[in-house]
Amino acid sequence: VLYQGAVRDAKFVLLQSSFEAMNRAPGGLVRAALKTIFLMVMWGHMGSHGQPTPQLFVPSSDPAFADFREPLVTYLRAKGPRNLNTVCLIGERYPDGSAWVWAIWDEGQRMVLWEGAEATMTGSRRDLDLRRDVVANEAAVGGSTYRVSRAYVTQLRSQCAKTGTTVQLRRGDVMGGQTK
Amino acid sequence: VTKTKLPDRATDEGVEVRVLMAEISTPSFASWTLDKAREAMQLMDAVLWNRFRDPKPFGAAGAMTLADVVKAPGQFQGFESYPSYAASVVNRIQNVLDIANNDSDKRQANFKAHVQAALERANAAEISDPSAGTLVGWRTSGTGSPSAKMTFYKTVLGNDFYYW
Repeated sequence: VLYQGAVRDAKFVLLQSSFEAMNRAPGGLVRAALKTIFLMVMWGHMGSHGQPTPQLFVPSSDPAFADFREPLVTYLRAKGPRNLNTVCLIGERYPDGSAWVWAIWDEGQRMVLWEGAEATMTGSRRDLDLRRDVVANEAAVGGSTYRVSRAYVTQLRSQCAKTGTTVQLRRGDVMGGQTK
Repeated sequence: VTKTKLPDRATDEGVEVRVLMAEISTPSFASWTLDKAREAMQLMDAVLWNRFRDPKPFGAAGAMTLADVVKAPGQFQGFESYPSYAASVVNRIQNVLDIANNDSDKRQANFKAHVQAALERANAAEISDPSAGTLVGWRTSGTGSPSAKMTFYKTVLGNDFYYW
């Protein structure tokens, strides 16, 4: 049975393959331009159910999200920082003007939604534990309001690695409020 | 200004207002407006009570109260052990209440209106479901569908709503 999520999963495989092909293209600028155009086009067509789909942005490019370090440090401190904390941040902007940033914390295995300068990460409406809140596929979401599929997380991680911002903070930096 | 308090957590109203405050973006979100918050609350109210009427598909077979619906495994983040609920949700709700009740906070008016809207929706006698079917789910926008059996209805304040 082809569940609707399979369409999304198949699109992700296509996205990955295309990226690999673009990585083989000559010239750094050409590769970067191809990736940017491809991302804008593909991401806008990822939805398979009619939902609006986001355009991605780098947090530092939007004043509402550029100062992510303080809320991030506060969040890591609240959750218990590891010796090294690697966090990738990527923005999503929707057709209705809504925008937010996902922060994906590798060592803490968490993914938290940050709604901008006036909001906190510690008080987020969506703070996922990637060990408990991720299910095998979209069919296994089972009506949940918050669980996400493995393909979704893999996709977001991949996009974040390519077009987001990655920061690394040591435990001392977090506890002292300083960033690397 | 009169301090805002939430209903007892053991009541249906107490359950619902806590879910609404946990799941809906607060006035700290740049896209927040009171109208959008009210609409999101209306749609979430419909989802919750539609699930109460037909709880079995949502892991809550035999539900006698709204609490039985929201503590169904894996359905509402932080509410599985209700009336105990996750510290992160407690903190989020308390933070909203603190701002709403702080006469010296410039954000008070919007936060107070936000909480008041949640209280009014939780106390409303009837549900209002404007979808073409029965609203039964919502998701943070962009995170995929809750079920292949559900159809996307609309997006309000960063949540996608679904019916079947």
